[in-house]
Amino acid sequence: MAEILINVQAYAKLTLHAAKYPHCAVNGVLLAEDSKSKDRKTIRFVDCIPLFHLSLSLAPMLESALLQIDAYCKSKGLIIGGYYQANEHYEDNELNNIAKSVGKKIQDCFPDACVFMIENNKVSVESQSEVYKTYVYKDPNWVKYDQRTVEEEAISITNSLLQGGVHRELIDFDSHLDDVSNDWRNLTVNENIKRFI
Amino acid sequence: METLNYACVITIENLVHFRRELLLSTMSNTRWEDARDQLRKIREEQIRDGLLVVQLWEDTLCDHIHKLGDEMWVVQEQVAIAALDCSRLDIADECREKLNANFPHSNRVKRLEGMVHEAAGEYEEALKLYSEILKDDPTYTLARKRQIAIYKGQNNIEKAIEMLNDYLKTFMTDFDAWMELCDLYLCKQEYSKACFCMEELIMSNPQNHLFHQKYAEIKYTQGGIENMESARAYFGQAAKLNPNSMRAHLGLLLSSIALSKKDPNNSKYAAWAAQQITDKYQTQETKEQIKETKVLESIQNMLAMLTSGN
Repeated sequence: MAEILINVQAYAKLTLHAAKYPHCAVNGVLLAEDSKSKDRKTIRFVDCIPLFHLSLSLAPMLESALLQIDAYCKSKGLIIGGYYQANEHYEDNELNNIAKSVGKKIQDCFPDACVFMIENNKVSVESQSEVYKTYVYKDPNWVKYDQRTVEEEAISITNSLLQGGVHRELIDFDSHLDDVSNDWRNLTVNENIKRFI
Repeated sequence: METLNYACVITIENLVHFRRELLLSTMSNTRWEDARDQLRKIREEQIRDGLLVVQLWEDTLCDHIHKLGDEMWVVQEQVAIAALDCSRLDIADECREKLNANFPHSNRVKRLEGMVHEAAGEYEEALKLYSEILKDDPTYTLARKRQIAIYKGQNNIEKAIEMLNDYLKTFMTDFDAWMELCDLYLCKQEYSKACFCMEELIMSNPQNHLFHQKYAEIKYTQGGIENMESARAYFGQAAKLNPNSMRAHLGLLLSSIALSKKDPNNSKYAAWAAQQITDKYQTQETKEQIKETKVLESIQNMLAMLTSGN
């Protein structure tokens, strides 16, 4: 099984997304470096694009988002390799049908795809561990990947970003569709993250 | 003030704690009149931003509450509910006590008390209060909705659906309730039932583009030729009612592409939708954004699916 690593930028943005909409289910994708080698030992996730906080189970906007992000990825040598989801209910951390079907769709294009199910009670300014459980696909199921995926630094930087209220500036695809001048690349948030590194 | 969010308190249990002093430093310079106006805007537009409301209250308005006149009571209620959203049960209790002192036998204040219990996870106490309200006034719909919200808060979606269906038999013109029922069915991926709810909403409000658009999205998700044709028709109607809707145009583009194999006329609809989308991006996004996000390329990729036969 390949090693999975998530950098600060990707980790921070997915956590900020969950924190921005505590009363909604949220989801998004993670972008990995696209190595042409078929036998990769490490999958590095380097960015995160937050997608939706309204109606996660509906297809058309998800499809159009994935098509846009795919075009973006090709120009940057990246690939959509991961999917994260936080369920609406505080205690519901289940890898549900929506996560499974979107995860499978991504896995069809990227065999080492991962699904990250956020554990709502771990999203906090005093977080000590990664906020999600990682799953990889082993036909026909998604199974847990137990190793750590982020550095300590990523968690402490994310805690600081939450304290500073940076999550309020985060743009997801839903906000983009409301007003297309909202940039789902979140360049300002990326700058904020870089300041801590 | 009607809170439309049934699930007001479900996921809020200490989800994120914030150190007050680090947040939005502009708050301390806000005049009380501006804080009052912001709270009015939040009420009118039914924005859910508990943190902002609590900040406006704590930093500015609470010392000037006596200047608000009768509006003071609506503001206290608004702040109490927002405080529940931020796990600030201290503020919520404080506001509720002031309201109780002035309106001692009010069902509206009792409902607020129920919500404070809900936020603390004391569902039995909350249900008891709501039953008392309904015994006194069976038409008090807000208490009935809180009962449904409790089941949603306990993640008992089936029970919430059952009670909401019951509620709608009596109060069938409650559009927010139909919308909530639609969302509950979508949680369970029961798309046909979700469609039924949207059909009720469209019949009652045929000029609302959001209803047509959501109906189209559900139809698209269901898949199959007939559903896709419905989706295309309703996305078209949504785009007609709101020419600025990006979702409607994207939906029209994708559904036309999906149908183009069956009927080549769809390529005309797809091309039209693609042009509308391109125009919007070109007028509303910066050149850098358009270039870097490759949005125009992605639209061309979508149109290429027409000629390649998907």
